[in-house]
Amino acid sequence: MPTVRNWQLGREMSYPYDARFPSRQFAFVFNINRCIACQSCTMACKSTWTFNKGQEHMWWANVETKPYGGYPQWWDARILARLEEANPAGQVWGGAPADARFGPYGVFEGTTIFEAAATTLTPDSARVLGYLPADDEWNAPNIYEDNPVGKRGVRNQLDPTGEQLPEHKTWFFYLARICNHCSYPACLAACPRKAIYKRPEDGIVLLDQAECRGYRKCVEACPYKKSMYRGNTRTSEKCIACFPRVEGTDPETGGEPMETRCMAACIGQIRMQGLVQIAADGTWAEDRQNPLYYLVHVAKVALPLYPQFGTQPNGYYIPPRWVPRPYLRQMFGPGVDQAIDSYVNPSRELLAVLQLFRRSNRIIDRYEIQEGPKVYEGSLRGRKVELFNDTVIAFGRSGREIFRTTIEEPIHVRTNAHANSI
Amino acid sequence: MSEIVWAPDVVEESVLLAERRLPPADARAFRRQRDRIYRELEPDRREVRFQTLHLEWFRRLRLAAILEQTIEAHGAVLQRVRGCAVARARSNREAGADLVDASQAGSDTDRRPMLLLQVMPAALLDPAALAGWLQHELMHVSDMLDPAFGYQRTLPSSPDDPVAGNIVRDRYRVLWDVSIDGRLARAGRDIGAKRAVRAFEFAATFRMLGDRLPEVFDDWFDRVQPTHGRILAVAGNPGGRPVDAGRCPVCRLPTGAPFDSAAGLTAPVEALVRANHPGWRAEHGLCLQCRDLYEARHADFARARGLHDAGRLEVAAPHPIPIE
Ligand code: SF4
Ligand code: SF4
Ligand code: SF4
Ligand SMILES: [Zn+2]
Repeated sequence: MPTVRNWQLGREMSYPYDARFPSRQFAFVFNINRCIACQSCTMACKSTWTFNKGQEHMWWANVETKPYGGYPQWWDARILARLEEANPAGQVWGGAPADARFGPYGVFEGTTIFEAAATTLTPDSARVLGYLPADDEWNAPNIYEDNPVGKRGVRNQLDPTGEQLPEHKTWFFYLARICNHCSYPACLAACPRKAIYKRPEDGIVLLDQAECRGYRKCVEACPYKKSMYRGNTRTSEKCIACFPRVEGTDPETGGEPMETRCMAACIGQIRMQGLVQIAADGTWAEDRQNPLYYLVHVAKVALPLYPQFGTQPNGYYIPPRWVPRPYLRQMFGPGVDQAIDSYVNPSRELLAVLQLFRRSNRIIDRYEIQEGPKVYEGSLRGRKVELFNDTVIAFGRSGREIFRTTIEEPIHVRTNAHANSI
Repeated sequence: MSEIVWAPDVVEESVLLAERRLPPADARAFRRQRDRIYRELEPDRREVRFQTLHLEWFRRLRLAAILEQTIEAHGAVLQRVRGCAVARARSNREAGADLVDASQAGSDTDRRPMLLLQVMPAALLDPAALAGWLQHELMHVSDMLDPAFGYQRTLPSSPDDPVAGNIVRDRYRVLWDVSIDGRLARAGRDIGAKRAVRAFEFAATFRMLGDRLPEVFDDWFDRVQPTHGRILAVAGNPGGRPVDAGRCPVCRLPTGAPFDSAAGLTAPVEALVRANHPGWRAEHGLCLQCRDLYEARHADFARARGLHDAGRLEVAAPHPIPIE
């Protein structure tokens, strides 16, 4: 099997195909700290792409309550368990975080789903370690909604002091998920008919309906369970990254790249999506003023979801600051402590970049900051805090300004012509 | 009885699951045939071809065998039904056996009902578990068909208390399941670890029996020859106490269950009820829901008070709380 370089794991790994990188890659950052599980994203996708007969159980975008919830049920626990069986006590990270775009979280010393397949499966299906969820596991997109975890080992009782920060002992959080348009897609690797492909221009992973013969190998292989089988067409389907919007070919875009339906619908303003430039070696090309590049590689506040699976997913998450660290480290890797530290004590620049979320539905290519006056000085948890009312300006692919906004929330005073109307 | 009618989606899904266990050469042969059907673009013809292919492999892999054998072994049930249909269940909860009225099935001459089995396709791949599950489900059906059992589909319910209806139905289901596994065990059938499973369900549903729980369970599992009336009598009034069909003195809602004596309330909970209902006395009793509610409220208040005293909650509880 060929080897490829996985920058998230800081090492080479085996993958059924040679590496081929797109010039730009569809990527996104979700700030979990802000999601309210309103499911607007879920419904935006459903009402656009999966409202037809045979798609009833499909939720390409979903928001689940962790730790108990999951769609399909227990998807992460099940694949983590299979990896653990394949490599008992070996799923660990080592090495030091590199100050580079390769290996920023150290080196993953465990086994990926591709490597585990080689050691545990019979040769015929040996490409990816996975499992096929049963019918009933797809029944509930947000099962165990809002069910919190109490003190360890104490049943049916919440911890009486469980809400104390920095980490809650009584906790849950919402994990919003779509297909990660992985750099080394497991779905693509597993398809015996090569019906799944990754587009060279934007790295979006698509499943060709004319080629698919319903083998469901992708459903079995995708560790995030984002490829789904449709019984009436007898083909599998998956998130298409709303490609007409991202391309700017959807009539609504007026020719300028626009964020996907699920991003644009986000009420909690937790989502930002863009296209990042990929270097010849598959790492992110330096692009200092791109907001996604800044969040992932400079502020290091956004982390990949379960990087240890090995698919090099392109969805990044700002981890929820109140959740116990061991749980988060399992989910987002060893970068968690640094990410939460940067988020809780944001730099002047991070604070400005966080204002870019959802001020517009256009894809932001680049931002600039204009410094403003100091508006606050004080201390928080023993650290000195200064707030500046900087202005952050977002530019689109064409170089045109999309919008500008400030750190302090703008105040609009309504004329009293219609005092009681909304 | 005529032959068993299999829903195409059960056939297809079980074949696709079985494919994963086929020797490679067989799997390739199946795929070669199946892949070709995708070239057929006319939807109806295509559907027929898929169904025909899947049925062929379903027979070839003998996926129907256990179900058909088990049903055929139940001659008494078979004589009383007009036919049997197998449909897809989407979850374990949905899986089960039921009878569909002849009138619903649209028959004019044969008044016998249809036997409807809902199964998860994956279950067909696990013969031992399937046979055990079927013998349990078929006993439900055999009870339903037995005049001596006297089954009635609708349980008595009260229009102003739908909750009570649900509670009775849940208890009915648990008792019936206990008696079925009990009878199977008595008949020398292998029911695995079912006794413990049923005992657990029984204990969760009939907590109000207190110390008498094990004795009543053993009786139903080891001795009782159930009838619809007998199950319903216990489900409707498990404690066997005189039924007071009045309203709860606290919430004033009608209650099918007798009022719980308030004797089990702790003094602070009792005081909390009185703080909200000054005329109420412990002897008046209160319904189970009210009792749960005030116990939970008391626990919340106590916790809030604790946080307040520890200086971690600014706002005290909204009104005076009687807590210890
Ligand atoms: S998340 Fe799953 S479906 Fe999406 S590209 Fe990755 S492996 Fe494929
Ligand atoms: S990107 Fe588009 S297709 Fe994918 S989950 Fe979001 S709305 Fe659905
Ligand atoms: S729309 Fe945004 S805030 Fe609402 S559930 Fe989706 S991700 Fe969370
Ligand atoms: Zn009451």
